[in-house]
Amino acid sequence: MQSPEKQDYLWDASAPPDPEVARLEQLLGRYRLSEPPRPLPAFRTARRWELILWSRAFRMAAFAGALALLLLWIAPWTIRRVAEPGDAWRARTLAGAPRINGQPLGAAGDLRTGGLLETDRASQAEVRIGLMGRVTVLPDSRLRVVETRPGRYRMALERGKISARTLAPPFTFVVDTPGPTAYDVGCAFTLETDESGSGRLRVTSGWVQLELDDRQVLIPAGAASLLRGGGNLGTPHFEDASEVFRGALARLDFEQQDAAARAGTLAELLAAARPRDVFSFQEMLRTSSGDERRRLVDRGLELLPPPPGVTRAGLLHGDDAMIFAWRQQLGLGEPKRWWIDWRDILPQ
Amino acid sequence: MPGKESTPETQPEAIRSGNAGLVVAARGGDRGAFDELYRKYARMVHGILLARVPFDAVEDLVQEVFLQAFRQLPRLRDAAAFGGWLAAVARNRARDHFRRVRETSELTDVHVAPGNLSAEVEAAAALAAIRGLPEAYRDTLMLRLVEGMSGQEIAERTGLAHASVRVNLHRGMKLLRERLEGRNTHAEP
Repeated sequence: MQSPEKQDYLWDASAPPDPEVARLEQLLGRYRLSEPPRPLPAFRTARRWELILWSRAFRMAAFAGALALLLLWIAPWTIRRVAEPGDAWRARTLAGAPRINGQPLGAAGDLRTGGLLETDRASQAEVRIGLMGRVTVLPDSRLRVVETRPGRYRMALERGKISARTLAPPFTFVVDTPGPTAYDVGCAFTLETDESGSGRLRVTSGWVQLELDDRQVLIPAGAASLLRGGGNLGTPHFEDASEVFRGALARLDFEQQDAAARAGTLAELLAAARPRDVFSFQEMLRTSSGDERRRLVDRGLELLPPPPGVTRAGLLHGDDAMIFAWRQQLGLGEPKRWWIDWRDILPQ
Repeated sequence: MPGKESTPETQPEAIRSGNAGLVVAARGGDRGAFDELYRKYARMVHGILLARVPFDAVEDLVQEVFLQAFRQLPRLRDAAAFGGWLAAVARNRARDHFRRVRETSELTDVHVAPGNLSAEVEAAAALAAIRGLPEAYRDTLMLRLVEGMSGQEIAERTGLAHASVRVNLHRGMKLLRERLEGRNTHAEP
């Protein structure tokens, strides 16, 4: 007995014909491939590099690479678009009733170029400069927007105190005061001043550069600089220095003393110094001379041995490269980098 | 043996190893082995293409499919899966063809010979009806009714299971019958 398949004409044409299927076969046979099929034309085998180029993995890798390049290309533009503040900074009330251009700020408002934000004794405000920075304006302050454009955010603290945190690239965030100008080098700091220019800068993260006329002072985290009206910029010092050290430094910076009294004050300073306070000595070398400079160098070398290549003679001569190399011994670190110190922008 | 399925795994070793040997040789650049594969699989490729593109374009496309297959053969890891892989190449080539020419017309497949008008029209109608079936039925019926392959051959060439081919043939034929009857009914005055 034959299997069912052998009797199924649709499965096998050797079975008894199914008239309908056979008719369709006969009708459609005109479309059948002619036998033997047309010979294939001459062709060559693919080379290895062609196979790699045609491979899906290669095409996906090429696509991913192109996408990565595109993202790298547009990333700076995107970051600027997101991070920059446009033509207005956003101010909001933290306490009391701050005013913008003489009008109550209310809960929040925009602060544009030329605009003045004022706080009285009972009020505080916060100013957000896109994602580039955040400034807390403390009581009894006047803060004016001088300039806002990509790469330059400049304000003037006419009076009072601000606390700033920035992610801006170095030297794009600037605060004028009646005395020196503070340039952010990627940092967090507080700055206070009165109308005469007296006050103080304290750096809590990163670095700040103070500039007054042709004098420039870089101040690292943990250090401060006193400001005095009349164009006086105090030597930066670490805030954890002894009271004796800080007092002697202030007298040397701002008091008119005769030579004998000044020598006595210097002796007091040198005796109270720690190795870390050599940072202040290094700044003083820029403005001192003669016996004062010699005493600073000798005491400094006792407290902080220099690296190879730095000599007493070179330091006495005021060699900038040697002073810089000597400062590196303090391990103060580099100016802040936003991809490491991004937490500084977060609310405290 | 009745009821026994013929999957790529269960097909006779002679068939699998024979074709696999040809595939391995062709992959190594043996043109003679590839010509042999061409002779064995040309009808399958022709049927799959005819189920999708106008008859006039099919013969050229068959050649293109094989040339493309030869170039891509080194990427085929399992030589025993050649039939299914080649069928996929043919289906993709048919899709590409439509992307390029954007033409489809059943009438292009009517090749009228003087004195045999009704048979030609009837053949074109049957072809169009098969093309209108679901893909699985369409390919299987095209290979059976146009290319004259047996169910066993279809299973061996396409790599489909024996039972799948059988089901596709019968369900496809049932559907085709219904559609042709429906067409004839509508065509009557």
